[in-house]
Amino acid sequence: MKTAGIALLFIALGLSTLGAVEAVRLSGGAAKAEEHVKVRPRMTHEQITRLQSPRDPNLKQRKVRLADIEQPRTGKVDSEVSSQLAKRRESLVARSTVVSGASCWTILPRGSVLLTPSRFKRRVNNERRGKLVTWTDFYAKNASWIRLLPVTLDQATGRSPLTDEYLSSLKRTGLLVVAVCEGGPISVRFPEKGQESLSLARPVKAAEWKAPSRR
Amino acid sequence: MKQYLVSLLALCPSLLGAAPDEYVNFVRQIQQDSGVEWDMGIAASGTKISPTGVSSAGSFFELWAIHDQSITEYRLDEQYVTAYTPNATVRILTGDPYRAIPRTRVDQPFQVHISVRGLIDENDPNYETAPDAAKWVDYTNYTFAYPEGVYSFEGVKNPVGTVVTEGYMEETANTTVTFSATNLTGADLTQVSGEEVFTITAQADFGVSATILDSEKVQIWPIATGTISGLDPSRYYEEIPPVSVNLENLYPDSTTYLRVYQGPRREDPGKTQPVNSSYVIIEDSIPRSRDMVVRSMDQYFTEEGLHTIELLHRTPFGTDLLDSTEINVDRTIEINGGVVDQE
Repeated sequence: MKTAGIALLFIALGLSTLGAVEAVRLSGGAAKAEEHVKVRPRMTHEQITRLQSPRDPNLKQRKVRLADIEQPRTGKVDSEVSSQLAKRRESLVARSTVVSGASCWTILPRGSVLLTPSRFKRRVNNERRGKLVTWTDFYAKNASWIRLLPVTLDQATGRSPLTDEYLSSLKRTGLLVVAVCEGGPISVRFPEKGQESLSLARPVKAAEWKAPSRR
Repeated sequence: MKQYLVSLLALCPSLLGAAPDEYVNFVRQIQQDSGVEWDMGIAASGTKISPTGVSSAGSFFELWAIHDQSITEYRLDEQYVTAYTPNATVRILTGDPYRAIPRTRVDQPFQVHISVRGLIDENDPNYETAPDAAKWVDYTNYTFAYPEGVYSFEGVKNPVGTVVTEGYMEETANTTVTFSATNLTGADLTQVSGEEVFTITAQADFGVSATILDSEKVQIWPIATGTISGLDPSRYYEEIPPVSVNLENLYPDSTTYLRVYQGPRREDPGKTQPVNSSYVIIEDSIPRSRDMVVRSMDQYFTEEGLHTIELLHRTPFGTDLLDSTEINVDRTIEINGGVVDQE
């Protein structure tokens, strides 16, 4: 009886102790994962310094403002170019050659009228009669005194300039000579004596030609 | 001669307050290098092929509507078109999969992927005559530190940053720049926060100002700090007292908790037990700080002797040990009393 009492006491104590210390785990899987978690010490200032990329000493002290990024440092536009553009944007008529007929008139790029016989001088950059019309409409009504001269791009840019002999031969027609390309009037450059010819870019393949999405 | 298709749309002049047929439309192309100008007669809308093509030097296309009697002129549109127009994309890759904005921590590596397209090749016959904008783009890397205790530039007027790199890229290529840690500077790099901005800019040309092709920023957050207090390592505890935990700059995507294991602090402790009531889970856009008291931890100390409590901080970059402490547990059961035996 005495032995049985002691045994019961110890069994009761043992059971209650077990219940009190049994860890409540999140789940079996979570505990298992926890045992294998790889822990590393928190990094120090010195360790991060060693990781940092070397800096250009010349740039170290240079400061920048956040707004500068929105207005890039290369944002300087050539003032001369800007003023030229601004002037160009004022008027198309003012920077064109005006050709007038009996009842209408039109505008052509400057340099596209190659020959103006003296009898037509009053019709070029002079009085305007009637309404402004497109070049196509104007030519349809005034074809009798206008001679179209189809030119290539190389001739227009002066890379393969029109010869003086050829232009002289056109004088004999006694008509107003207008250079055209694909039906549209085009200005023609003539190389100036004593000046080097411009270095011009060649047109590129159509596949490489992209719309300027950034503009 | 090669020809190129130019798609042109003349805006309806009726918008200008007069009958459309009273306006005459002109599209004029001006080649930038030669200065050659060409007119194309157009209807109110349509497409036309440019006979002169577009070179690397580029051309302006102007669209004008002129009233046929009053000669009032309207420049409706202007486009500058070049054969070579650079494009660029910047993408920042960090160890944090957060999607809203690239973000990382001061001690973590990150990569900047830059893709530049449309630059003229050095061997191209047009290279000499091409404008600068066709030859290279600018690359910049600036850092901007957040004011102390603030995690944004809200209320800061035009913050000042530091130049890390300024350079240029002159090839159509994909480039990857890898940084082992942030480029921000500070007296304690573990505590700095801010932004790194990477920008690709096209050069200015022909009256068009420089243009940002792409710009990306990465947010840099500090490393969290944490302390455990309320325990004396030299004492023997029968019952574990409440433990205070102080947490600062917890990473915006992190889980911080205590874990307990038997024995002294060591790298590979074997069997450990996380303290359920100690979990701090942060899912936010900025770092957070927390203070808490963890009670009733006796259930985690099953054996007598030395135990270790560690404060762990789990982020997308791994798990860091913020603090640890040792505690001696005395589980000896003393029974004061006797056993009475009655016959």
